[in-house]
Amino acid sequence: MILMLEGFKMLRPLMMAPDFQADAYFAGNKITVSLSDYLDNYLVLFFYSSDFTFV
Amino acid sequence: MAAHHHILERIGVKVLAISTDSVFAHKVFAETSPSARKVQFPLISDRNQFISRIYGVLREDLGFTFRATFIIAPGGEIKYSSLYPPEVARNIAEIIRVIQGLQYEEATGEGIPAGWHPGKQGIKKDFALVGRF
Repeated sequence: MILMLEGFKMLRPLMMAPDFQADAYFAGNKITVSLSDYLDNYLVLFFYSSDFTFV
Repeated sequence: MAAHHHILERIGVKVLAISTDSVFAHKVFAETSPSARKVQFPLISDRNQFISRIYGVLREDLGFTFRATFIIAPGGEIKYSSLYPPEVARNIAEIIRVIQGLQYEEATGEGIPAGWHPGKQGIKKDFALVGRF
């Protein structure tokens, strides 16, 4: 099935990455992550579909 | 990803992983899955799918995202974005190569030819050289 999704506009090069804040799991703890705290160097942001289907 | 983390660290790159799972699922995943136990970066929970939606990678019909990768430069400009098919996992070495190419271009002002990898020469950006490669 091919889905025609209105408004599906993936961000692409030359655009600014929208800032966000969200809960995250890190090293045994629940933390709050702000994207802006990670932009002092190159950052890889990778979306994956579900836990247990990583990379 | 986790296996390449030391290379990313050496070239000063930070990593954030994100899915629409809860932080509770992330915790159990990180504690039990052999691939996740080595993870040394935050697993973000996009429980309301807001981030996935604004980045344009949410599969609205399914409630989860494509395998999408963004390389974001210091200051926030997106330098690279890609979608992998759900059936095929990423090649992290290529992500690292792209960042090393960006860093090499910044340091030297040279262009990055096809198949470039660290240790290889870049290409001088000179109009007189157009057509020579």
